[in-house]
Amino acid sequence: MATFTANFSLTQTTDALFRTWGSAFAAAWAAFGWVQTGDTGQINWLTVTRPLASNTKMGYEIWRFNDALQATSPVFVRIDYGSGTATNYPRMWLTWGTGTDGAGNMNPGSLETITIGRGGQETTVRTAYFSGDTARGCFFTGLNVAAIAACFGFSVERTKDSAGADTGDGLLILFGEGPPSTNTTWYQYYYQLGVGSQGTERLLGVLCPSFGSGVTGGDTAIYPVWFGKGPFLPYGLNFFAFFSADITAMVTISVTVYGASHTYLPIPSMINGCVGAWALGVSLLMRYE
Amino acid sequence: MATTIFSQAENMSSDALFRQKGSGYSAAIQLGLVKVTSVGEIDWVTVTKPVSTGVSAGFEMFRFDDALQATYPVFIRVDYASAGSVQALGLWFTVGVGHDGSGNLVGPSLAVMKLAPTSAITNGQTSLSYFSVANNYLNMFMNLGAASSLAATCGYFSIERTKDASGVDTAEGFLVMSTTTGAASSQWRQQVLFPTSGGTIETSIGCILPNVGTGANGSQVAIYPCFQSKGVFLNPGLNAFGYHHANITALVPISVTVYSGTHTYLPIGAAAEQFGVRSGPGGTSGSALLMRWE
Repeated sequence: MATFTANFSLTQTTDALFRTWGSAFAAAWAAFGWVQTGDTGQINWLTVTRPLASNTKMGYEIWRFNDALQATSPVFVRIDYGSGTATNYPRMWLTWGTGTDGAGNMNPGSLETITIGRGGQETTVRTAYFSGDTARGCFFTGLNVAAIAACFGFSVERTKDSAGADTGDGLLILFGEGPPSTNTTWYQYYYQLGVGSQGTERLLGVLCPSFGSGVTGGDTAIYPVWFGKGPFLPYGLNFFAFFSADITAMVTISVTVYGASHTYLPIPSMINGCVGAWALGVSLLMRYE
Repeated sequence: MATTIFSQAENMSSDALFRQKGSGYSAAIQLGLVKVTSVGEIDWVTVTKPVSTGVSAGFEMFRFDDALQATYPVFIRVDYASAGSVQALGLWFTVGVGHDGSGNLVGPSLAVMKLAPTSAITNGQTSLSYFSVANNYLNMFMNLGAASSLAATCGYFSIERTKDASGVDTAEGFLVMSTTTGAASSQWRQQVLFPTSGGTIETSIGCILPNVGTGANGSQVAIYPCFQSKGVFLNPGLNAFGYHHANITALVPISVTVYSGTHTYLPIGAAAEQFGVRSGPGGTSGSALLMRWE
């Protein structure tokens, strides 16, 4: 398992800036323990140039998980790097599947065009927080920015059994992008490997009380993010919700989940409203180990 | 445990009809709860119907009759009232831990929860009120099938004790919820009564369903618990669950294993969609109420 931070600006007014943010994410996948495949035609961070138009892909990478389940339930992801709704707005497209043809094309049954990218840019260098291992990854960018429009978060992990162990069924994918004035800027997917997604869930599947502090006696509540496969699946480990007043932001805490201790990073309350309009004051815990 | 269906086909246009309706509800409640004689309680022989809207014509006091009642009592005052229409019967539930013998609750109590339909049922059209009661819970859905304007005539009320992680009643408090007359989840009221304090109203049923998918996967059909809060969520009660109404035939009881025990539930069906059962992603579309029925 790995945690680390990276500093970059989310803009691409020069080739160098495009290479900086893009290669930072590429370094993250490697640091997680994912393996870059030998597919032909992958992006070269030394030579690639920035997009010169909106919604333009400038190159891709193919990465795969590297856990024991990879042999029987393989996970591959194609990541395209480019521009969003304007030339200078960074964007990534992530396409999940079970394999490629060796030339960057995903096998049939892939979940395509999940996009991660802000509808804006941040010219100041900001810190991004990453956490992952050979079969999962999550990150938040822009947490030291006063305006919530500058942050976005992402999570992918394998589906879980009732004990919280990884299963080969599929992936739980979650991301939100600024400006997250409401919960509806979040997206959730359950991706069944090689089959497809149940569809896009445009709200975080989190239920929190609308009153109270989230604290009773010596206990502080955290709230799972539920993914639907028709019925809900056992919850993942990457993100939980919590009342931001209960836990000091950006100071890691230990939480017992599925009977095991894990480390989480409380995301600042600046993302209030991301999680649910019915739960003002709620923020996210990001697995950080 | 007992279930009963109280049938009506006329609105509350006379004293006789008011007495018939009110005493019918009273009798249904007493299939499980015990009526506590109080000074000034309603007299079903002499009471007259309210002549204006939103007025109580009288009350009765009920209590649980389980083993915990001796040490952790609960009393439920039921007012028989007019609702949004002078010809619509309303039921007002006020829950507390003690009473003075004259209809006043003493000690911690909850804000009154009113089942106050905005419209009367349609004369000649049968409406059914479903009661599931025992010595430690009351679960009722009133006026189902009453009229074309369903949401304007129906109401739901539930009270049960808090549960431990195995679903066994605890002495911590009482889970109370209600909804009436509306097409939004905001019509729901949840409160938790504790022996030493009242509760805060949660204007949600606290039931989260997926926005995508059918609620079914293979041979499995999902139902979704309703969470009530004391700041943090408590263990779910047994009286109500949410479900996708396309998955289960309405008004045909089903067996469900909950907390490792088999219980019977009544799927209210698409009618309950109008009550905003889903409070998580996706609004209310496709969701309905599964009511304990045993």
